[in-house]
Amino acid sequence: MSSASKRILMVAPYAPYRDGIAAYALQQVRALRAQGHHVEVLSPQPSAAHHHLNLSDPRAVVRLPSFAAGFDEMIVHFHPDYFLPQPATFGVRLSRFTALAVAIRRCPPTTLVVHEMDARWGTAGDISAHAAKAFMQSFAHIEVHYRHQADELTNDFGVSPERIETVLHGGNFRPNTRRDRATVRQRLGIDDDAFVFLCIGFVAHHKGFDRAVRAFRRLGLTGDAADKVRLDVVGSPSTGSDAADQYATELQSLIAATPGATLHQEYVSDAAFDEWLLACDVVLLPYRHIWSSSVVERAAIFEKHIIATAVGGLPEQLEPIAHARAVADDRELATAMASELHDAAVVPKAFLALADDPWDDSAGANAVMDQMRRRADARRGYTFRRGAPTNAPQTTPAPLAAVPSDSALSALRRVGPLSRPVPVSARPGVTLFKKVQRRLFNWEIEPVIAWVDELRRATQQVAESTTPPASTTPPESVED
Amino acid sequence: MTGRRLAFIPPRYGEGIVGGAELVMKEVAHGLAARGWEVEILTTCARDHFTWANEFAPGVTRDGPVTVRRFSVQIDTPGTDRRRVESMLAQGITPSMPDQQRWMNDGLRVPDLFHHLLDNADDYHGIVVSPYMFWTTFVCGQVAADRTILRPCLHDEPAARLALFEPLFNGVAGVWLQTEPEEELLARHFNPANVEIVGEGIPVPDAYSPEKVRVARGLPERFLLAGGRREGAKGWDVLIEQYSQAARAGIALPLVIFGSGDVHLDDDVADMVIDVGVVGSDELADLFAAADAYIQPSALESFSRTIMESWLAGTPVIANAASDVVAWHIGRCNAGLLYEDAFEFEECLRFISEAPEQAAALAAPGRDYVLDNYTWPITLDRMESTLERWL
Repeated sequence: MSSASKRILMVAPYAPYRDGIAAYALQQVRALRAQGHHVEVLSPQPSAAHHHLNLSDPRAVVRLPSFAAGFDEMIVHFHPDYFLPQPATFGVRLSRFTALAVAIRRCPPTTLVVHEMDARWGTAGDISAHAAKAFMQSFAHIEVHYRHQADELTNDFGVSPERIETVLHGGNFRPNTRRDRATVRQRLGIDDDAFVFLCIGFVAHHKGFDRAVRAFRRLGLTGDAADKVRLDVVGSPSTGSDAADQYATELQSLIAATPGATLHQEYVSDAAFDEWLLACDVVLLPYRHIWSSSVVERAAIFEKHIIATAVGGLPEQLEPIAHARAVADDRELATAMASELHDAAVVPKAFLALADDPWDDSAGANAVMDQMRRRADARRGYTFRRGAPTNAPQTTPAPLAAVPSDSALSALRRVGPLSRPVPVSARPGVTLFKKVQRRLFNWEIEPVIAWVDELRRATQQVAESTTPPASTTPPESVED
Repeated sequence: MTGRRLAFIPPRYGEGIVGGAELVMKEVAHGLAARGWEVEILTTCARDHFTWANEFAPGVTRDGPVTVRRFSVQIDTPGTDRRRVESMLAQGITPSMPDQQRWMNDGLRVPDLFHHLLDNADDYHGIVVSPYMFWTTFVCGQVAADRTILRPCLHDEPAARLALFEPLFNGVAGVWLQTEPEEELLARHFNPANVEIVGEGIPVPDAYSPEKVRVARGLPERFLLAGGRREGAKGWDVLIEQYSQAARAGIALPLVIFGSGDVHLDDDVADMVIDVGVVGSDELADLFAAADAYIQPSALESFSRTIMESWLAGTPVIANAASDVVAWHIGRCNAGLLYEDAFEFEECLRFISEAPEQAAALAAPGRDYVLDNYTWPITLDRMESTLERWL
């Protein structure tokens, strides 16, 4: 960006919507305006932006050049969720990428900021790949945050390396709180000497917060350490979709059955987000997939220790950050968490009881069966009520003493929202048929689903209000 | 940052605007300006909260000691998401978070105001936003949350239970409340960093001239008074229905109404109702003094400024018992009657009609209650104290 004042149109999700890209765009707008540029925003939904346009509708996308008229430059923040209806089938990719490629070529010089892109779309081997490449190649300039992302764009989408720039992810980030750590700990109800692992952000399957909970259980903390060490999971379901709600319900169940772990299912403010980061000791990002993460950058502002799974661009993102480490799998995640506790002198190394015990088959199949079930119970978060194992002699059922006392409640919590199948199909014409069918019957089905879900929620609330708190029995005996 | 510079962000501001929250924001702004604070009002160009038409010109003007910056309202959405979500709320269904977000953004939006604050938030020592449900409050209240004070005017309504508002309530530096029932309601749904019941101030007229308004408006000797925002949400439709029923049952007291909003009357009671429209503060004070009783039909009150004005004028209040806040005020000072339904409403009117001296005596403790608790010096002291402690 040159220093002369320019008129810039930014295309991005925007405040008051609360996601990583909207926050990133907001901070970029603030920085550009502070430099003297005139910046207006076009967002995919009505927002605090001056303009809005449904960017996933190819008929709307053709109007993009008319919005861009009169601006010197355009900046487009790309994430598939805002440009492609999900799932991004062949037809969706072909129509959207084609419309976007045509529209972008009629706009002023445009910078693309890539937040996520599926490399397979550029190598699909069909005509949609040509459309995806045409889209990516329509930009004068592309910004990514990490080198491997630039390599993907070059190798899979044929973008000239000269057009790609690697920019600092958190360059425009600044703290959203002026409070100090002691104050925010007091405000959040965290003891001064507590050791806090934190997962924060939207609760979604790909964020993998359940992996952090299971890793926390594997630490097998007892005694003082169990009182002192905590895992806080902070966030709300990402989209309000049935799948997101289902995952949130499962996570809630798992956490309820995990002493020391707490779910703060909240829609947190920017300030609260940063205060949680400030208050914690270690930030966990057990993601299943991601291109890169704003949470890493925000955690780095507060010089926090970070443990993240080595997916997407995270390893490269973590590289320059002190006290950050990437882990390959759940076992390494638990080991890294244990190591943090040891380094902080919370527990002696010998005390850590990671679940790496070998299978104990010395007592026969029944013991293995018992061990297998307890491991499964620990992972599931509740216990099936069973009779004695079929291969066991006529004795009492396997002991399940460590299973939380509210397992029935946990099971109830796992009853997710009533969901309808997504009206899509790979067969030609069937998607349209399903959508028409859904539209025809929506008015009858929607109220039924809403009331069933209300009934489910009410049942859970009643059960929770009448069930005593879960046992605080340390979890190590559950695990192994 | 300027040490004593404050921004107030009401959705509307200026002459002819009916709305307790907006009026209080204006009085607080002027009160703090008189105490040496440099105050700016950041608001819209709208006067009418139904149409949100841009009636004032955008730009900067002065209103006495206060700088007023107006920004154009942008309404370019069909309102279908808003209506759909409100229908869900009315049925007791909790909308999903995306639906809550669509609801918030499917109405007035003021991008220029938002960007002005984005550019200049650091220039203000404090930012005061109110009331909670408006886009201006929701969006601007999160730009620089750690120096923002929210004056929510919280009612016990479905929207108050939406998770959408958690970042606003829980993110701001502090929350100014008006009453204890509002504090109890807040605690049920949110967990702000700082909360204080600052109340609100009611200007005390130097004198009342009930005869003057009777003559000027051609009003009868005895009448009931009601007014404010004449909307269904404020209990207006039910009031008209209950008043009509009482009139048909023989209650002969006319009803004088003031404020904004359409009123639909049946033919047989139309000549019993006198609409004086939007009135100035002096004339309103005289109306309160001239009335036999003031009727507050709204169940959604966070403070109820008009009942205070009525008590200051020595006029008793007849109020809907469904409002926790109004019931709380009346319970503390015993200067009014509460009704649960049309039958009780009719009996309240019968009391006013048949026992005017006892009705006037009923109002007596109300004036002291207001003077002891809700004057501007007391309120501004409390507000200034929080500005020092929270920001």
